[in-house]
Amino acid sequence: MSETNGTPMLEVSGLRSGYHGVNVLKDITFDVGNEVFSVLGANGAGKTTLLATLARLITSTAGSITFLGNNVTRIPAFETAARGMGYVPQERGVFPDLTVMENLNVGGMIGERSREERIDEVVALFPDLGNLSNQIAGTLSGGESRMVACGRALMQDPVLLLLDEPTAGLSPLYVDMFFEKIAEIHQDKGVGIILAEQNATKALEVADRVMVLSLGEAFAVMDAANLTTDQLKEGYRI
Amino acid sequence: MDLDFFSKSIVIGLTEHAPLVLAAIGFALLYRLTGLINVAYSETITLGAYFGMWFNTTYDLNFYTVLLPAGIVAGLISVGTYFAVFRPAKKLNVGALEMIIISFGLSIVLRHALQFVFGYPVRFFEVPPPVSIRVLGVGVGAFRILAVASVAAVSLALYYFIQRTSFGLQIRALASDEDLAQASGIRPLFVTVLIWFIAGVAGGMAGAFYGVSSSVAPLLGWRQFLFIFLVVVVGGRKGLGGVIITGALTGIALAAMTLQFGQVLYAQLALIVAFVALLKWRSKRSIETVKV
Amino acid sequence: MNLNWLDAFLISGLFSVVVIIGLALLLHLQLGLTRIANFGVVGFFGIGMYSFGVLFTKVDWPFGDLPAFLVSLAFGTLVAGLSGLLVGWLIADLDEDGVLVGTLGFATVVFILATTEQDLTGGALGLGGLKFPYDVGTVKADEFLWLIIVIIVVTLIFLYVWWVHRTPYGRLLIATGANEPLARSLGKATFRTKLWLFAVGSAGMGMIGALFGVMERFLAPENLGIDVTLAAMVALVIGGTARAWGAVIGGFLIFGFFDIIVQSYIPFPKAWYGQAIPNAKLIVEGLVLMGVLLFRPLGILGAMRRDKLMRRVHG
Repeated sequence: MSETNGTPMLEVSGLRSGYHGVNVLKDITFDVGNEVFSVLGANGAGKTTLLATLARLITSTAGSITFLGNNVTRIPAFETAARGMGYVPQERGVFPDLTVMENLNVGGMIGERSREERIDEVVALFPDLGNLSNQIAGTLSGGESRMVACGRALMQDPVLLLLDEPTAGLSPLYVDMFFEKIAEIHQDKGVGIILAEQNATKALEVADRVMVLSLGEAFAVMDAANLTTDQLKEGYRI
Repeated sequence: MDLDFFSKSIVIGLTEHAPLVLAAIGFALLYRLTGLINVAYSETITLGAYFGMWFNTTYDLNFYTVLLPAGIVAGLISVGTYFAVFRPAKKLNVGALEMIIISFGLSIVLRHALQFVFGYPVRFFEVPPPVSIRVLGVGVGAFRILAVASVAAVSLALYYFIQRTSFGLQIRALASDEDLAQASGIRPLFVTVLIWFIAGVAGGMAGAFYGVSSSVAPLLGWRQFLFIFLVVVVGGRKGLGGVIITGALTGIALAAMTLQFGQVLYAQLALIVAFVALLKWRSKRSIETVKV
Repeated sequence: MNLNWLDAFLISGLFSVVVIIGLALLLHLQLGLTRIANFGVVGFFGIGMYSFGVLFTKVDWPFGDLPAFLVSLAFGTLVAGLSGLLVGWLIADLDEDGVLVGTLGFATVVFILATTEQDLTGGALGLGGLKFPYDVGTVKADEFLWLIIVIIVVTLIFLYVWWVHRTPYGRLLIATGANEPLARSLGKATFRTKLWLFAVGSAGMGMIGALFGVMERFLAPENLGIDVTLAAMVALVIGGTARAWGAVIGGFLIFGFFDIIVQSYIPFPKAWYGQAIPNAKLIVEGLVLMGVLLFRPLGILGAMRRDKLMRRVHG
């Protein structure tokens, strides 16, 4: 996936969104190109709501989302998935009643490449999955579950991957491993990544650009390298 | 308890109660895959019997010609109820308990509306009396043997469809986590309609089998509902395979107890008590495991 | 007393309405307050009816009709109450499926026993020999008096339900009603009181069943059909499950309307009364049940009227 001629993969403008009548996101505007774009913020800042809205599982109340040049603001979730957006939700990222292999196969329903080829790539990325093929996904450990969730989304051959706090609650070993994989996925496969993270330190290591969310508003959008510690603290302060 | 008793129980149980397995599969599809307890499913069964009888008597077709059309009509009606009642109910965020009561109301409406269409007297299929074949020493109508074979074939086909095909995977994924399924590109409306249709076809065909073996009356499906539900609630934990096995065993148990007590109602009573006790025991056990 | 002005149909129509209201009020205790969806209303109704009837007719009472009647009535009520305890305990930890299965299964068992135990119950043919515990002259007068008595009984039931609403525990149930985890977190004492309320409701249903049996002067399994449960549910739901008044209003609205007004005063062709009208009535009941739950789940009285406690709780 090469970078398109400067046109961002994803353009978000004036986005407002929420659920159960509560407006969580207020007027969010940002662009994402073929890069690792990290969304930082404290608990409750709206990271999950943002990603779920982008994935079209939540309908925005105002603003627009443009994906690969097309307006997808009101398009159903399965349509954006078919167009190349992969989504790994925070908690429920696997189908608990299906086996690991079945989980991957669900992801493989979209796209043209052969299933075997894609599975080989996913197993190459997450070697542990090879042994877990027939295990019911609901019985996996936290770290294994995240790998399967990621693998499933990658099976869709996405151009943009939305990861919602993939390392939350995992042991430090898994956390490190995951961030390596994230960098690998972007570099080797050219997949754009939007990474929602609470772990700002690790996220800033892999991110090209960041956006800090604070109470539903975009506090700062800039290159990762330019984000100062003070600015970060400011953003996390409630 | 001799071998004769066992062979009789097995043969009669499977041949007489084969439709129970089929109906249970259909109900289980809806129940496990949409989480919905659809009391009106019993009317899908009844309508399958009525339409089968109607095709049979109006167009002078034999039973096996009308079986599939009856199922298809029932499937379409099932999809109709989804669009007319259950989908709007979900959009209105109706609670689980209210859903059950709504489906109960729908069941009543269907059961009595069909009487305006088909009349009040009990109806019958017009089929020639079947040849009796001896299986394991028990005389069974050739008809019922073919019924078992058909039920087995359909059940296995459904099992294969759900467990091994891509469509089946979509259905199971949607059942497992609807949001995630959508995010994976699965189209929920298409898959859901498919589920409702298949469930309706299974129920309708079961109804046709019930109807041709005895009579076609408005309470045909409702009479079976409790047992279908019991089979699914008890056996459904282990997926479709569990439902099929539990259904078959239930049929055999019913036959055995009827032979033993001489009265089918006692067999039903024993079954109800046994299943409820089993459910209670299972829930107590799971509560204890949670405590640990 | 000259009762010529009183149509026999009006008496039986009013009687049906009152019985349904009584059942709906008790169902309100179970479904509205303790949130147990009792699909086996007719089971408790029936077991009370049959226990009463069998005892009354089969025992050679050494005393008169009235004491025999009271003893049998008490027996019927008690059996229904104990059944309620048993069923309530069985379904206690179960989810909606289990409750459906348990309550519906119970009603089915009662129906089965009424049919199979022919020596006791007369089986499918039914059991006669029931009579009013008094005799005031004509059958119509007897029935009218019975109607009054049952109205009084149902009024007492209403007052009891109304009182339960006013007790601290009743208020707690209303407040936690729809919030299952909250209700569960309240612990064992809550569970026991819920079970008690369920059993009391069942006992009441049994008593009503017995009173119904007396009016019919006949017990038959065909009176133990699912339409009894349906009627109670419709009456309760249409009036709103949250308030005791709901059952009363619902009963009059739907059954009073149909049974009394439509059937008595609209001149349908006679041929329709056999099956077409009862059939249509059931369709209407089903549609009402669906319609109310879909569009006005709090009953047609809507969301306006709530207990003061609810307002305080929800701010």
